[in-house]
Amino acid sequence: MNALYLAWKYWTHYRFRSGTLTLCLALTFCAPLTLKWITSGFEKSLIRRAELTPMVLGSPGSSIDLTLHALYFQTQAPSEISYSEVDALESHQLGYSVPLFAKYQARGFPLVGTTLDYFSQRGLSITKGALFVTLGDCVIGAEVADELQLNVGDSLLATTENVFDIAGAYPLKMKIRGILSTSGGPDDRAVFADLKTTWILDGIGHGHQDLESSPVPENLTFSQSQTQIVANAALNQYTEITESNLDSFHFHGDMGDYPLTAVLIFPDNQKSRALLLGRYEGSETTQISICLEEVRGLLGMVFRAKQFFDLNHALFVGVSILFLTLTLALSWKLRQKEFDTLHQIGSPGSFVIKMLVAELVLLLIASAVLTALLSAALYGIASSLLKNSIF
Amino acid sequence: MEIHIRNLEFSFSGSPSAGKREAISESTPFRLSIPKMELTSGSHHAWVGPSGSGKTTGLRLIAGILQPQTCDSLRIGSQELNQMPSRELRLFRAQRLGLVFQDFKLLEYLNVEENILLPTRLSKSKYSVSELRERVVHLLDRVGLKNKKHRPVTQLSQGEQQRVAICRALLLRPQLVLADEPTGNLDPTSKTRIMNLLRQECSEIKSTLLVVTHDHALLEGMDSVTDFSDFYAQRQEGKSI
Repeated sequence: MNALYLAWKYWTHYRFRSGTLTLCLALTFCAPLTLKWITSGFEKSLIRRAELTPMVLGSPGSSIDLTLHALYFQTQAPSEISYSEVDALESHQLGYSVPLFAKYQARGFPLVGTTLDYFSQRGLSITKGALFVTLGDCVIGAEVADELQLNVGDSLLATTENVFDIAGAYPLKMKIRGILSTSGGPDDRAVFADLKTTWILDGIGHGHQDLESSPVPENLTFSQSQTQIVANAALNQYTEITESNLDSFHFHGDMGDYPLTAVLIFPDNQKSRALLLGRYEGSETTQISICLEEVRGLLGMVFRAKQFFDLNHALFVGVSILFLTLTLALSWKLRQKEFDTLHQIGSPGSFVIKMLVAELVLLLIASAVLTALLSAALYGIASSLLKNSIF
Repeated sequence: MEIHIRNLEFSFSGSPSAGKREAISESTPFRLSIPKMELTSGSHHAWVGPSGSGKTTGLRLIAGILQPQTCDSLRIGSQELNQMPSRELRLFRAQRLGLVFQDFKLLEYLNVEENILLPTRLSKSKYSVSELRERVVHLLDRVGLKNKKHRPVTQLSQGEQQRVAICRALLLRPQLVLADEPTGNLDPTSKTRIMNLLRQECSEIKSTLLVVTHDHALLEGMDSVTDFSDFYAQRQEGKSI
């Protein structure tokens, strides 16, 4: 205790010196520690989501793009597949499928067209309001609500955001029906609507002034026959679905041809999984991606890059420890007179060693605490940055 | 506590005043020889001699910090230092000796009170904490530093620092006080004051006082004075004396 007392006295007397050493050590260790925390959190998060989504069906091309699109809605939507693929999957009776159409955005957040099954499969719950019921309704993630300061009953504008598509669909003003509870995943930063609502954005469905009532205003018709009326550009197309115009919204063509960007597949068991893989093997129009394999492949690349950083950090830590050793050795040499004094007035030979060990322990404890605090702060900043860009 | 020395010989190849650490150096061959010395208990003694004559070395031999090469007897009180294991020597130094150094040797990171109490941190004391605190107050009162108990020693003058060092040496009421040039770094007024203080305090606790000095002005009032020039010899290269 007396050695610790003297070590503490020394340590607190030379605050600047002790603080500098502590900070140096903390800075040396906080970078690799933070990187480890981040990669570990990143890995866990990716793996957990991939495990919850065994397979994804999409158009042929990059399977990693398809997986990341279906799981995180962040990467560019791959080429589309038709809704008939969902019917085909269901006809196999090998599992459960959830269609996704995530092509557009709403105020910078991905707009995901899906069915209500998505929420039950993901285990998402509503914290306020209800799930979407009618065309034009949407449900927003917790972070979307927080960031855009939106509440149930507010409106949210979904846009195609394609300046080159002059003839494209109009923006759609959606009504917020509910807000999802925080899930800690990409669902927090997404807007969900019924598939049909997102198809309206794609121009497949629309609502406009009634042309079937007579007489049809002449200024709206381009041509008219017994069976067909072709309207001109003056026709008022609705950009908001309300109770009064809901009935005017309609879709053209066969639903089986409507686009999807991906279909989440939840096979009943391993056998169903194997059968599904077999059935889609060699398909030229679709591909099945096994999420866990894709994510592990992606993580493999990330961790190969991390190995380089680890090596770099190991060298950095090694050099810092050598500098620390040199600093302490020089400090102890400079304090030789003090140690001689302690010996001369009766300290045991081991006392000085105990005192130095106590000083080192104090330094390590303070550094560890500071490292943890700095790492936690860095982790907080880094994970929020990563959340915005990846998760 | 009386001191009894018979045929003590100590030699090393470094400067005699340089002490233990330089003892392995081959630069300055040196030999100290004390055939006989008796210092009575409770008396005040002074060792004088030119710089480098081995006074500090003699003091360190008595304190058990250095070991003589040959010695028929080096007895302090009833204890023969020659036959004491190092652990007992350390305890002897901690509990029965009070050491005052020329450069005070106070720890900068402790305040006045903590410096005085330092010996109790290094070995067990027979006094209770409250007794020790009372003793510190008493000593500081005697040396005129009562109001500077919590002050860092770096904020004290040299004279004040030496008074703190004396308080530290006297804290545990040692039977023998060894003072190595205690006034060496002080101005003339402080020198007299410090020496008087040291003598008074030692008389009060009936300690034997042994002061090393080369300042003859401080010898007044001492019971005996020994000139160390008689004991010291420096060898010429390769020749023994």
